[in-house]
Amino acid sequence: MRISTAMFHQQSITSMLNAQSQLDETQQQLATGRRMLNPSDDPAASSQALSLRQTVATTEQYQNNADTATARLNLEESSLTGVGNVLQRVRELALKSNNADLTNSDRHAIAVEMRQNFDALVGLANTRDANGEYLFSGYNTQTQPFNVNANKVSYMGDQGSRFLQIGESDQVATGDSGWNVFMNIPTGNGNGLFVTAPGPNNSGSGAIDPGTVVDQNTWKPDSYTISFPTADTYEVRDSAGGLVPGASGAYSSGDAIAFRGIQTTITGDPIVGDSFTITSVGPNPTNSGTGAMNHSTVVDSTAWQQDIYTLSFSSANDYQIQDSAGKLVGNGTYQSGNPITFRGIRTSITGAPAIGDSFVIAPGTQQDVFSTINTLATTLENTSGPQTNSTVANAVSRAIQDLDQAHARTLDTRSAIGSRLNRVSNAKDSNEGFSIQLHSTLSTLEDLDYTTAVSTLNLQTLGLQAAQQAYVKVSGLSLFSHLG
Amino acid sequence: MPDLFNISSSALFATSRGLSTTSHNVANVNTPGYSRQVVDFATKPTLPEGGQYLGTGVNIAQVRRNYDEFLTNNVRDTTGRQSQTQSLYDLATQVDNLLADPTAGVSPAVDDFFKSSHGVADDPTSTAARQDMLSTATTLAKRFNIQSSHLNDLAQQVNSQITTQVDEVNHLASNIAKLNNDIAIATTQIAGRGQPNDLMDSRDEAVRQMAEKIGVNVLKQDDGTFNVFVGNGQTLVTGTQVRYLDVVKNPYDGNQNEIALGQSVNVGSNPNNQTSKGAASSPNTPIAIISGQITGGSLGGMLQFRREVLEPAQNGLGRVAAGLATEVNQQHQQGMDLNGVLGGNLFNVGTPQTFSDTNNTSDLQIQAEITNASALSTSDYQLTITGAGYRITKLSDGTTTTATLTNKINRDGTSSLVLDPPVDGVTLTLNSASGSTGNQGDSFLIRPNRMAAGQISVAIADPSRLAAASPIRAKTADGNIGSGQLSIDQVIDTNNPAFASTGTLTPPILIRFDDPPAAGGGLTYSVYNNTDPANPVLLQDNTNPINPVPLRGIPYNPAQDSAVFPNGSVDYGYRVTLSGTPQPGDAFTIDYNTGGKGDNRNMLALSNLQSTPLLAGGTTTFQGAYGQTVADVGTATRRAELNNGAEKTLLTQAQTAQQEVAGVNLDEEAANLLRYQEAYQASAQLVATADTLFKTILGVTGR
Repeated sequence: MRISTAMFHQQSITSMLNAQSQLDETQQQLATGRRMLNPSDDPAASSQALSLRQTVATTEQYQNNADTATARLNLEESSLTGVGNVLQRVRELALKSNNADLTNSDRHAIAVEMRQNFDALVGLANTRDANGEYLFSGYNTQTQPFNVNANKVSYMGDQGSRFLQIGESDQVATGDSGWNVFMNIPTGNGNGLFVTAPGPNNSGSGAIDPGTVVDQNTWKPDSYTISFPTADTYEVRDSAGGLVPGASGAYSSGDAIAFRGIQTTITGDPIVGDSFTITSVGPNPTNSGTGAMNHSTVVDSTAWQQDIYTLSFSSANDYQIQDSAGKLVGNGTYQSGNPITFRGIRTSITGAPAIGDSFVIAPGTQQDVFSTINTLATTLENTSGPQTNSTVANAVSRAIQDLDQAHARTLDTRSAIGSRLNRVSNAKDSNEGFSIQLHSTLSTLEDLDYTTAVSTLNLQTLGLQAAQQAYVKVSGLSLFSHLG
Repeated sequence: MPDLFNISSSALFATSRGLSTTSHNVANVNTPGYSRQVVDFATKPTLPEGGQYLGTGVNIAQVRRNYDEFLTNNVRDTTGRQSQTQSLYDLATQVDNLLADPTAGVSPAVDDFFKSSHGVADDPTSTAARQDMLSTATTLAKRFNIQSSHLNDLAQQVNSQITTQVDEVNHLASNIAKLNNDIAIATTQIAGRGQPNDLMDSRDEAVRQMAEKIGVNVLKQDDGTFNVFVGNGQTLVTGTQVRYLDVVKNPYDGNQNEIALGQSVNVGSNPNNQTSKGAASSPNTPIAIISGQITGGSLGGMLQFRREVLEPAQNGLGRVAAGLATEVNQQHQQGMDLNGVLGGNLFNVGTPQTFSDTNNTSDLQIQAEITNASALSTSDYQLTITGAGYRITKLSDGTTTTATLTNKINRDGTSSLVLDPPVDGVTLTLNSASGSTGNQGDSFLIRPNRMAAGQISVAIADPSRLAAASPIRAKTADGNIGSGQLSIDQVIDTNNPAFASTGTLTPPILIRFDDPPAAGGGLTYSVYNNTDPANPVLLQDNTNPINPVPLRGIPYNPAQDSAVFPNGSVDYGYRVTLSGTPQPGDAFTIDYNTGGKGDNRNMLALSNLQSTPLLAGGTTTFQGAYGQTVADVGTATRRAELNNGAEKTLLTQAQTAQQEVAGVNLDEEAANLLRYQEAYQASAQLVATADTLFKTILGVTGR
């Protein structure tokens, strides 16, 4: 085969240039530590690396979010711990006040401390975080959620709670609205079926709790009276005066009294002649008309007062409303379905009630914790006279129930926070693990294997040197150099 | 009797030709295209004498070049192919390098943008977090702009290189025509005098150089001239006639250069009368654009690069920009900012480019608008008005669809003519001052994404305008007994009249469970207009205006969640769900989220766009689509690199084979030099011998 001289030189130079550019690439790989210098070096891997980098970045962000969530939840948790302590203290004060040996001034002193705790509670409920945002105002984080006006607290926030993304499809609430934590707390039995009340002329220290529903199907709406034939026995009669079967027995303070699907508890020492009523909410069972009462709601919590109200018809078109003491609180002309509003309560009656028909209205199955404390403190401040013990005992009994509901809500919220923190922590762990795995995959895709690269570099250096030496040697071999 | 002097002088003459040809070979050892020449010696005619034939010396039969037509053609063809892959590879590498850096590309900027949006979601009232989001949004837009401008620079580079290379092709075409002329004269007019070796080498080299620029086919004529064709058989050179190539503007997009056939000129013996601006300046000559047919050579490589790498990359990048901007804007519009105002656009992104063919006969213009970012493709489209209607060709794969005109009523009450169905997420609107709907034969080019990456910018400057909150909120009424909940699923359309008045919902909604429930046993609810909370008004479904249906007594099943809207014609542009176990009389309200500065629902939804597959028909994320573009460029570059490597090897093989025949080997020439030198010395000795013989005779006779 003939080799043209020009071709020989050109090919030698080309092969040296190739060796040089390969050497340069290996050198660049070593300098950057990257296996792929350009997407074209491995298009599939570089596209995969891009998406892995994105996942790494989002995972990092989830970790940041998780940290923020943890901080916010911890802050809420510590505020709620404070709230729990305050409620605990108020409960102790309530129990302390329920003592026949206390004087009026003792009770006033307790009321003063109770009001201090009230203020502390408002302060906790208005807690702000490091950014100056209110913790318990829902989405309205720049509006102070709880305003006090004449001992009544109104809520200015909303019901929202902020969520943060802590995983691919994992969002966690980082707060609870004040409405949920402090305002919307069920009171008494919280069922709206019946209300319990002490008799107006009780003189013993017996107190009745709001009762609970055990079996709604066996409940029979009526007005029941619990009375004490002796100090040690009780009996339950319906509105017709008949004994309720199986509902009488020996009285022992704190024992449950259960009948017709409900259960209540009387504590203290009632005396003979004392009585307690359990009144079903809604139409009186003896009504003869077709009137039906709709659900009642509190539309204006500042005007509302906890009580049992009776709406009765004096003619087919006129109604009047009285509170439990018989005081007239509202009246009007009846029209089926029209709203009836009084003392912050709204209800309506439909159908054709007969003259003399009556309805018991007892709304307000929710109460804010501030009102609970305020009501009790006000009772302690204002009560004096012969029936003090019984009034205080009943007020305390009701307040304890409400405080326990509020405390339970606090505990529920705290346990929810706990489980959220748990979720956040789990998410962080799994994100962490995921992140490590991602980095390792990314490293396999992108990173250079130094051992291979260095040995390649040596090989290539050697190759280039050999090519250069061979070129010098061979190109010197010319017949012309031997002529002449 | 043959004369010794004659014989020896013929030998001297022949060997000195041999020597000079060898020197010519040595001298041209590095001349491109040079073929080694050899002298063919032959015996002179013999003289019959005395029944014997006596030799009379040596003659030169011909000086020929060592040449193999097949091998030379092979070198030319492989040169054309290699030159194309080389130019494609060189240009593609530039795009490849542009997208290479994993820390400076678009993808990290997308990461940063969504990171900062998470930051706002974490802390919606923080001005610092909002400022950070605006600045990362600006960085992202700038990153798109920069990459897009780099790609545009490459497009400009291709444009100017097309001009330069076409000039060189024209110059070479003139040269070839001139050489055709010279060779024809040399071979025909001075017949029998051998071949003009060096002229033919020059012409071969000129054709080879042309093949470096543009793929050529060569047809050798009987008179020894070459006819040169490009593309699909477009004649460039016929004998001494040259049809010059011309650079013209794309009839749709004036910023894009195309190659066209230009004026035909007879070069004859004067290669300087080259003009290449014939056709473009003459309006009566229809311009024949042949860009699409050109393969081979660096021009072929450039056109292939523009078609297969650059434009897809520009469109791919543009689709990510347009898709991201459209989707983010849509989500942002569904939110409410710190001032309680509905969010606007977060990004500005221009409308898609549309071009009318300069040859259109009507004044119809097409306007395009992206209406569905997820349906966007990376292709360009051609709209042609045919007898059968509006034919739309997707240029990436050539599929066609036919659209019909429909009248669309706009939000402001005006109407416009649009093509139905929309083209892959792009709605085309007809626009004509004269009311024309176009003439048959009119055509338009639509580039949905080409400019998006270059045009994207941030639309807002005030950090408080970032809409982190949702504009509505649900409220459980005080005093509800049951555990029912009303949750807001999403805001769909803030252009709904419900959001027409800033800061309020028109109307606010009350949903109340009927007490007692409507006939039928289970729970039922009614939906009210709660503008006056003391006196809520039942809403009505006006689907049938004659017989409106009040939204009363709607059955509710506690076992399953129940969507409240839409209910017949009642649709307020958002979706809410009732769940849980409510009691009769329980109520829920929906209001404007006044004061909801700490709300992050919308920003959370916006942040989640990053990992939601939204593009390419909901199959890939923004960064996935970007990665696809990077991978496409990478693959194209890789393919070009591999092809180029293969073509280089083929070229080297072809060159080696050709050089094996035609190349000069100095050792060989040195040997020839020695050979001819010895022969020359021997011939000279013959002359001396003849002289001696002659003198001998003179001496004998002289005695």
